[in-house]
Amino acid sequence: MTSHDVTVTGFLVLLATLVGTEIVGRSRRTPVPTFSQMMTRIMRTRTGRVGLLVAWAWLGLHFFAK
Amino acid sequence: MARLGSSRRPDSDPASQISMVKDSALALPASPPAPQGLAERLVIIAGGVRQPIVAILLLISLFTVLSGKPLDGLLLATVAMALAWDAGMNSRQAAAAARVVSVPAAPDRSSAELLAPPDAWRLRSRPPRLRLVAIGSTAAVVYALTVGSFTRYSWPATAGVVGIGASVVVVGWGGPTRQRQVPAKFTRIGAFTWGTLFVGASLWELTALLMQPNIETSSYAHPTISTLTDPLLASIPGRFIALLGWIALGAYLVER
Repeated sequence: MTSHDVTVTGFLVLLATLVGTEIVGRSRRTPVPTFSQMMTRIMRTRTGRVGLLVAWAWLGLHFFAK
Repeated sequence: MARLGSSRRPDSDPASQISMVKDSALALPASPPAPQGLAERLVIIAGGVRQPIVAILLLISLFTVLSGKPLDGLLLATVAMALAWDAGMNSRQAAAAARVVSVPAAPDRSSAELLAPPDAWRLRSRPPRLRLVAIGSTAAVVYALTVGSFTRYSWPATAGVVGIGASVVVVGWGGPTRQRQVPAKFTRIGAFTWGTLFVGASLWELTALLMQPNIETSSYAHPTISTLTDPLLASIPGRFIALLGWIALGAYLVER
């Protein structure tokens, strides 16, 4: 397994864990919140709301803008 | 920020606010004296920098500058500083309020949140109408087709992304656009689970970035997310899909 494969596998494992956490969060009796609940909780303050929206805007800048 | 909406909520009217203050146990004290001198202003900003979101934005800003995009980094740092100032001023006002009157306790809400400025938007109580969703979706497709047809990192693409990005951030500064139920404070295990996931992902990306020959040269052996997505974003259909996903994520966040 090359270092390229290790790096890519790491990202895939993280993605799978994210999906798995969301599935666990959607099951009835669990202390783990869903992604949506977490976003709503973070965005309850102006700092959290604007901070997340700026992070989103940065994604667009990073991948497309000069 | 000035009021952005033409329709105000009843509680944003100064007259009604005065009557609310008279009737309510939450009697707001006069605002604390305006900060004077550079030292006091720096203390206020330092107070706001402790907010995790502000700290994260500053870190992103630093790495953006290091990777050769000083303008993006400056933009991020400016917003982070504005947020730090806003959060610091809110904390200061909350501290002043706590000294003068007792603020009624509310579970999971700090006094700074209770004293936060009113929202600029009239809150919707329902999801957007189907017609509005159809118009918005069509506009998003047209936008993604247009901006996606431009070469990456070109001025037209930059203008398109900066335009929509800045607009959404301005909307966000005005507060939420619809009524929503804010979940109660998460349990430790809940916060730990998501926190670990995001910190782990950030560290993995950072490791790949630092393993490159240098911060501006991508590496096949240690690809970052940017390097992995380059083949997708090299084509017009790929950029169209990515832009559509980016807009959908933005719309999702604005609805939170």
